[in-house]
Amino acid sequence: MTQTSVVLTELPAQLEVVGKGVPRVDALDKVTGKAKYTGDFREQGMLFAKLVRSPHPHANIKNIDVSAALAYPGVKGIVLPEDAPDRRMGYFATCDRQVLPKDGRVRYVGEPIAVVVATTSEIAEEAVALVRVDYEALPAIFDAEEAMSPDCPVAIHPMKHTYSKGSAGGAVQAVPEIPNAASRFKIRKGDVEKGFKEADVIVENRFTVARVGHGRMEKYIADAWMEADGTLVVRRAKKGIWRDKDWLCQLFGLPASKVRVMESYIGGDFGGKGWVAFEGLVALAAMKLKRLVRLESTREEDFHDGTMAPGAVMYIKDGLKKDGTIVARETTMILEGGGYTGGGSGQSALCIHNGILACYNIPNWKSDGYVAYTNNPPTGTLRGVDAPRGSWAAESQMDCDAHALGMDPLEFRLKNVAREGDTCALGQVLQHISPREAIEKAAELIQWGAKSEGDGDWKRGKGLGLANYGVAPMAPSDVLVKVIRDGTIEVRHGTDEVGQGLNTVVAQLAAEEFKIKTDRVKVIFGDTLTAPWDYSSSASRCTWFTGNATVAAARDAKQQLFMLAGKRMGVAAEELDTRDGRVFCKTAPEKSIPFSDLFQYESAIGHGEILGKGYYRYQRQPFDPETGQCANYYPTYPYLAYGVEAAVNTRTGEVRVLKVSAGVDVGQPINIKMIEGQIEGGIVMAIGQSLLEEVMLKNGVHVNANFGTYRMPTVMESPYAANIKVESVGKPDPTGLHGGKPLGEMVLIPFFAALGNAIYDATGVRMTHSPMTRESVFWGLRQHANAH
Amino acid sequence: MLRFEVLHPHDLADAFDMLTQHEGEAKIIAGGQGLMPVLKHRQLTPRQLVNIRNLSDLDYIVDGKDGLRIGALTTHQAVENSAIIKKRWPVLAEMEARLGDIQTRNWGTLVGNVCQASPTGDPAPVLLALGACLKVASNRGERLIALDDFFLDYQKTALKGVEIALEIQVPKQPARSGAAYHKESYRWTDSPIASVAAAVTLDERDRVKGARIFMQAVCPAPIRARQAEDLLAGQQVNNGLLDQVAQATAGVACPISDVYGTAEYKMEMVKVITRQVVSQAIKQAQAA
Ligand SMILES: Cc1cc2nc3c(=O)[nH]c(=O)nc-3n(C[C@H](O)[C@H](O)[C@H](O)COP(=O)(O)OP(=O)(O)OC[C@H]3O[C@@H](n4cnc5c(N)ncnc54)[C@H](O)[C@@H]3O)c2cc1C
Repeated sequence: MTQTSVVLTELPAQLEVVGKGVPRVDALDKVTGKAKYTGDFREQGMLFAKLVRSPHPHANIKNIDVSAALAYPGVKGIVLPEDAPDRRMGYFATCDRQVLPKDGRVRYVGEPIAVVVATTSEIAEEAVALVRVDYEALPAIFDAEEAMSPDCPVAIHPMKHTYSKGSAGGAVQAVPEIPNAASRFKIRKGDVEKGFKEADVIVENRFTVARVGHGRMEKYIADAWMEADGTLVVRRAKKGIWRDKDWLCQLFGLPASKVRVMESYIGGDFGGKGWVAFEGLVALAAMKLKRLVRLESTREEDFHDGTMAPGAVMYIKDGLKKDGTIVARETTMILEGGGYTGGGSGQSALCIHNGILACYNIPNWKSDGYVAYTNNPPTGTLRGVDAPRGSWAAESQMDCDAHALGMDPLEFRLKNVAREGDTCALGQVLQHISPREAIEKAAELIQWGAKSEGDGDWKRGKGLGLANYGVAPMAPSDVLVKVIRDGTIEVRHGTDEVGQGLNTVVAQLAAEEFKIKTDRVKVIFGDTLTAPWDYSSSASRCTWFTGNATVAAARDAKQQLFMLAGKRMGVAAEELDTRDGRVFCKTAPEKSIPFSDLFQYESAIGHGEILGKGYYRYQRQPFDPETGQCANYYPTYPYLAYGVEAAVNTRTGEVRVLKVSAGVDVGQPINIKMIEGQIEGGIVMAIGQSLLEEVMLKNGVHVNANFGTYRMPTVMESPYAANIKVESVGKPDPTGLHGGKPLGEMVLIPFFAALGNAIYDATGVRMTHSPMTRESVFWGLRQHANAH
Repeated sequence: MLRFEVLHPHDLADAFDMLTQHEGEAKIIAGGQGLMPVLKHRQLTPRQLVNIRNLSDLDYIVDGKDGLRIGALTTHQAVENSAIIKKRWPVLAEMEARLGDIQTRNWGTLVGNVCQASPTGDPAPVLLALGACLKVASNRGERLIALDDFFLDYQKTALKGVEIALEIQVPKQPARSGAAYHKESYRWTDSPIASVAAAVTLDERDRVKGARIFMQAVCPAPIRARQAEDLLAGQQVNNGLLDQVAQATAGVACPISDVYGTAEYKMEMVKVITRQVVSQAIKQAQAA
């Protein structure tokens, strides 16, 4: 295992900036409206693109007639499949997506077929209506389990055996024997058959979950243009400048020096701003027309292209001993991937397990995760990459198990909870973990055991849920740290401020190294011309990866600074330290020198500034494809437990979340305020996805592609902030940055089941589908009343 | 793209002329909160919009001896926050407080909502239960339309294209009267899954002297539950009767299954809400 990580050198108590609730460095820019987003840029003479989209869920394209559209006043050009590269792209697992349907087939309603470019977006939209496309409609399929049946009459990707794997595709496998299976991930640990034979009780359930969207404010928008030297420039509201650069190079066969990718602040991501399809379309248009072209979604289009989280069907079977030990678990999880999975969901065959595989010590485990092709719009990554789905099934199942044994759900969890040195479902040994403390804290804060009283039609109950989350061990991070002569520290990173607060974390880390205030740190990001290589703000990796590289770069810069100062002061570099923009001698602190003097002195011999470099990488061993076992897949395992108190209206089925408690193991927290913020935001998002939100499709057509009927919670549906209690219980992880572990996506994962378990506690109704809409709870109550 | 001309009349007479001149092609726009989505989805494609927002004479709330009058340009927000309405017509203020979001309430007008005749509109059932009328006018003069005769079918009203609705009139309620409205909705201020308004008047022995019950969101247009009203007439209300009334109310609902729920669920919600609003209205009448 190669790991270059900042070892915990300071005791938490010695940290001055890290671990504190520092205000966000971008707060003022954002609240005053000064922060620039992609849509704020306007250029004279820019052109606007709109997409011709398929009205069919599955069809062959016979002919495209653009004559009327091309003749329409104001239209500057139209990009057709014949203009597009013959290449399939994929983000992680499966390269199944084309920029335009070069293979002559469309696989979902809304699939782009052509790009119409005009002087205004209104003209482009009108011209789109003039493009005549002849289709040969094909039979379509929308249900994941039907699609997965070996004798399904529809084959959505008949050539899928020829598709290549994406960048991180090693973890999941192709499934040639099932026509509509996009990918599979297998776990084989121990011997489940033996485990079930030893079991006293077997509990089996089927859980389902709906497709959900990101609901971010800022929609897709991208500009592209060509520079005089033939460089393709793409500025877009999306994350991963370097990843996009790589993709665009591959897609168009361009050399690395001829693609530049830019971004600004991003108005929300939640996992949906990773996939490159949109940039491919606008780049094609810019290259064909040699003009600056903008492509911007409407809210409806954002639903089509939004790489939403797939719906899933999950079967789960547990074998239990009477004393409460889990001896075996078997699961089959099928995700409904839509027409293409290259937007990230191909990987979900693995990721659906990502919230459950290290919570409990289960010796025998067998799991098959599949992503199925259907003719619904494509799916992709959304905060937690389907770990919330697997957790919904598994943590609901934990309560079913407990009840089957007549045990208290907390007691049952504590009996099985993973301990230091246990192996997770992937066979990795778990270290520096505190899941027990997390669940105990969540239970304590929600006053587990104290029965909550109902009120009239409202019945109250409590539920628990536990999750782990693996920070994805993806490509390395590089960071540059400059010491500027006025004492400012400039950090350049190549990931993204998607709203999660990365720039603040980076500023804090640099400030800690130089013992200055965060307002003395300047963070530069968002342009492949000026920012160093990084992957993307994905998979809760930024604090760990970019953070580690930041500290390494700061230490490199400090080293150079001390060499300079040492010469000037006549002291060995090892004797020096820095604080408040001065270098001082550790043994004689009165001996000190401000940075500015240092540069004046040295500039005569050529030092204008100091440039420190740092990097972080994590090397993992490959998975065994037949067993999913890997000794070090994840660099660390953080945990989060939720306790939820909910009220259920027995007349209407309405559910209200009253209180939420969180026991969080992120090792040593880097910024406790941002942890609370992430958790509060995550709870609101989870309330939406577990009670209200559902992407409704009818024969592949969006029914509610708007924020009126795709219902995200408002403040009225959220618990009072005072009723959300968060406590950090982790012990520092010495392999982690300042002992910290990641958090970003985990905040969603254990909520769904915790709420379902609270509804059960209140009413005796076991919800098996999420969202637990008021109507589904109502009929659940009805059925329950009729049965008892 | 939808292209239209926006006309800005400086007084009512001007507006009447514009509507007459462009009869069949012009639409009135007040707050735009109902009309803009309709235009966006191309459900209507008018050639002219007659913007009446500058006719500020039409922005008033008057509670006189005959009852309440609300002008055509009075916003939802103004109704919601009016001290006199809160005190004398609480059912209206409560209804408004859960209509749409604050932006919608700041822009949208109560009268515009009635003219829009959306099958999920909140104000209609309340105003119907209270026995309200709409005063409308055109070049040819004024007329008063009882809301009972106003909502004809799905988004169809008795209003003519050349007419402007000037005000809502709510008659003074008899002694010992009460009214209540409730919607069941996903989010607090969402359009209703189902909603019911009830207004009742009691005699001195708490027997129901008069009752009006209207439903919304479960029919193409607001619908009256006459059978349920008849069941209440002359009765002192108890739980058993409430169940019958709820059942009878749901009996005339004809909901469809859509993003707000299945037809079966909406029926069930009608029953739940009916029980609630009838008993609430009675309590209010007893306290009056
Ligand atoms: C986000 C959102 C949420 C909403 N939520 C709700 C809700 O929860 N409950 C609810 O009931 N409504 C809701 N609405 C609808 C809204 O309340 C009303 O439809 C709106 O207030 C109508 O008033 P307006 O002044 O905006 O009318 P406009 O939109 O300007 O006009 C609406 C219609 O009435 C006609 N019209 C307007 N004024 C007159 C007049 N004086 N004489 C003749 N015709 C006229 C117009 O020609 C048009 O056909 C919502 C709307 C939005 C945008």
